[in-house]
Amino acid sequence: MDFIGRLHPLFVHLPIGFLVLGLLLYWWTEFTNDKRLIPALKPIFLLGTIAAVVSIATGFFLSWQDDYDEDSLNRHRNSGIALAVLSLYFWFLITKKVEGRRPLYLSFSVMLLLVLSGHYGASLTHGSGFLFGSGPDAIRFKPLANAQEALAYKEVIDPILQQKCVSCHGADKQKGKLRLDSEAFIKKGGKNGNTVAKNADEALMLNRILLPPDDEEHMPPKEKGQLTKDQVALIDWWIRNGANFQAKVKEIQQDDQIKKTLVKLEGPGEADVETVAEVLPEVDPAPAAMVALLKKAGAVVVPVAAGSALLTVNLINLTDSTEQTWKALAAISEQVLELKAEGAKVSNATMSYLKDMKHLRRLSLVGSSINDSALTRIAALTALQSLNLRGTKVTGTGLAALAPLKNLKALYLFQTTVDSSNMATVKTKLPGIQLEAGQYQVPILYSDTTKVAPPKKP
Amino acid sequence: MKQTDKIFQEARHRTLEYTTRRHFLKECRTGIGMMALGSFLQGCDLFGSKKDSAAAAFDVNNPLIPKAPHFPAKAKSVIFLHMAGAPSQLELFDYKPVLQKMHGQDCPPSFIEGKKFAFIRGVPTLLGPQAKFAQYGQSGLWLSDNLPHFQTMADDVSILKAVNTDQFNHAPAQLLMHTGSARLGRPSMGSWVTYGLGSENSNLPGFMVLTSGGANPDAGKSVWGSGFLPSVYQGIQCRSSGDPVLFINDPKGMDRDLKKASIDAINKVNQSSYKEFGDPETLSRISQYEMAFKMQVTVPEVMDISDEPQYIHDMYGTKPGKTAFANNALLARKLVEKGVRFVQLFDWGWDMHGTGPDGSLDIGLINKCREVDKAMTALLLDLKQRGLLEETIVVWGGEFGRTPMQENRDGKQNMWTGRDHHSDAFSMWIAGGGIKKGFSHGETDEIGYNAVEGKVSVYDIQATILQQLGFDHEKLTYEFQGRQFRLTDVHGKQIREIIA
Repeated sequence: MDFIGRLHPLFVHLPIGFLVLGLLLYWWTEFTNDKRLIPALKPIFLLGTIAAVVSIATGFFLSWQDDYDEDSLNRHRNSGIALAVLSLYFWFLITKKVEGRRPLYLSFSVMLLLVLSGHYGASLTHGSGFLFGSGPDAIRFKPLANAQEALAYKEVIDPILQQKCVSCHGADKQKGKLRLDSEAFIKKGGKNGNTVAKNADEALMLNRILLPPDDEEHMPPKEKGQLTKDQVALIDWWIRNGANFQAKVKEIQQDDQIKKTLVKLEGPGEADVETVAEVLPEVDPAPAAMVALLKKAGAVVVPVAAGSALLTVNLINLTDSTEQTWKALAAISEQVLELKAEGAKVSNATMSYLKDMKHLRRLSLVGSSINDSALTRIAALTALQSLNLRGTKVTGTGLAALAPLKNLKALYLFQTTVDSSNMATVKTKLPGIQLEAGQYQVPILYSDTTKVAPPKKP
Repeated sequence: MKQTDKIFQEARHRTLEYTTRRHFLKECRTGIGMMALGSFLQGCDLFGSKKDSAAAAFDVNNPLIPKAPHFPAKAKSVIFLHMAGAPSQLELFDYKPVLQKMHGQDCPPSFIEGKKFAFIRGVPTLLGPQAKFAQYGQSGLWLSDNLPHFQTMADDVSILKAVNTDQFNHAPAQLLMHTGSARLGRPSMGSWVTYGLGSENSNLPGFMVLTSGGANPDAGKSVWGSGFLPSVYQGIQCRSSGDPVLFINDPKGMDRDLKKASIDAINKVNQSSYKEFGDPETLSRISQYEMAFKMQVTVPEVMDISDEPQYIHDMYGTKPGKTAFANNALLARKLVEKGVRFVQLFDWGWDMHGTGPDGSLDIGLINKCREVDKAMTALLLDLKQRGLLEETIVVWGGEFGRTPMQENRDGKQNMWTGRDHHSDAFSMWIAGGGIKKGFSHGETDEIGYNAVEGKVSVYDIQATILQQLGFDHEKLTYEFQGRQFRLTDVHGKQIREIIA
């Protein structure tokens, strides 16, 4: 008996397939006046009706053996039966070759019922909010800003219960007379006893979770969404430490293992490489002719990532630094994210071609012949995060022009006139920017020039 | 038969092979079938690699053309400082006061039961740290007095204290570290990176190798080999004294124009050979000839450290005209500055077993540290002041670690303080290229034998380096012998904890 019931999830898909196919063919013949397909409709709808009846039969078996929410079950059953009846009627109309509006309206009702009964059925198994993302399976854990500062129950444990437990132990259903959706209900427990007893081994919630999955009493039931290892560890940790509903995470005792699990709550897993990557501006692809021209002139022009329109440009191999090349560079201003324009070929004059690079984050002008007058142009590059002016003629006074660059984090000034003598004044003009004037020295120690000798043999 | 006749006969035979009906049929029998199957499978794109992998856009005509990684990169280049022979973590980075207290006691049986060591036999005794440790910098990292200069860099590096490998002999462990396999035949990390990213500087190779310490690493040149990747991606080994590349200078009487003319002629022959047979290795060969020709000018230039100012020489402690780690460290900076992607430095002679004074922890190790300490510190500072450290990953380490026990070769206590090879836990450091500063990841147990927290494998380090360069290490693949290969094979997770 149970076996027949379990076939229900298999059979339900047959009427869906048959009926959708039949309806599509029917509408095709209706709207195109292509009558060749009409003979196919009869067997399709007959099969669809039979499959629907079989589905209903197996559905009854299934409904007897498992404990479903009464309301949803009724909705699913009634819509299913109505669907079978209507599809039978539709088959009848087709065989009798009834013309007119009636079959057309009926076909829409069949479609509507098909969608409804399917949806109600899915709500039974996946939970009521599944489709629109509000249901338990769709709950996405929001990463915590700081797991240690979070509230242990409200921000760590409750989201897990909401995702994995509340669909059967909540406001809609209370299997075993247990609700796990609020502090009061959890403390009250279910018909079998305490949920979070003082003695951790008596705490039924933990007990059931830790039973092997094959055990009859294991929770969540085998066919439902299981807790992940980390989730089990978190619940275990919380209950064994007294199931405190008010405490913050940091106030509850932690070992190294649980500390690591808690850290994971702060961010995406390592599998989500893409989400770790920073958000980049969306731009249109650079004009291909300009890119080709730059490449021909020896510039390295590469997308920052496969499929991205943003570009990394390096003029290291530049063989042709005529105006045409610089104009081509200006033409892809919007797309340039990183630019290395190093060496003598870059001057104050060429800086005017860079002025529209509104997404430029990293700019290196190492060894170029620019001086302070170029800095006002650079100050317009508001997205700039890292600027390398090593080996240029910029001065401490001129650098004040960079103050409008609010995103600038690192500024390299090695081999310029900025050194320890005027560094302090530059720092006051550019607060919050990490200034790097270099000139590091590594002292010569006694040990650098000597070796430890092996003891002499006696 | 005369020798010349034999040659002519063989040549005729070869020509016929390409034209005879019998040969045609023989080749076609399998050839056409394979072609058909190949095109089916390609159409299926079974591994989904074609669209995912940026590197799949591998251009045989210009294999070193710069390419985009999978996602925006934090780092552009890598300098891997490999201390061949495996330095002792217990005298450098992993401070174990408890081991000091237990010095001289027999090693607890739980540590040695069922374990295999390279040389230790029977029950060895524990050997306390042979160096003084203290905390340095804002971060308070524990470092030993063997590295007095490096102590000042505590706030710039991430130390990995629980690195794990599964090889305890030098050559296989070095291969594993650099090629992701303990056996020969896989491409090295630098080859994978140049295959994926190409070379920014069109006049220099993307992957260069420098060695010091008097010998090449035990695993030989395979640690910078290209394996099954096209050979254009293999590391180019340069020497820091004498000709940087052997035979780089033209022979006497051959001027540069004549050289160019002969290379053009050779390339023309190769071109027509490619047209006839379509073997991509032929194109690879053509670009190698062209690269070699350009390198004749650029490599001696970039490998010449004499044009560096005196204060830079003082900083690194270079030894002009000699082969020294310090010279190589300075060269590594120059190469990265010129757009080389991957620079590997091998320094040989860190294998301190305690079999002699030079192989002991209180003499040999200290002297090796003195050879590299100043230069590696200078390298970090020099990269930093040039703005290169934010886009260059610097990695330092050996192929494995050393045991907390004094080595007892063949059951007899070694004459000098020394430790055996140890694969379960050792230390490495990584800096720059978007790696956390002043951070320590991983812990070993109280005697430094096993990793107890933050254990990372060699593959994890490889995955992390690729990640910083903009690659998903699972997607940087190359099809060989019918399957997609990758550096980390089936292993590897990026070490998120050390990423800034």
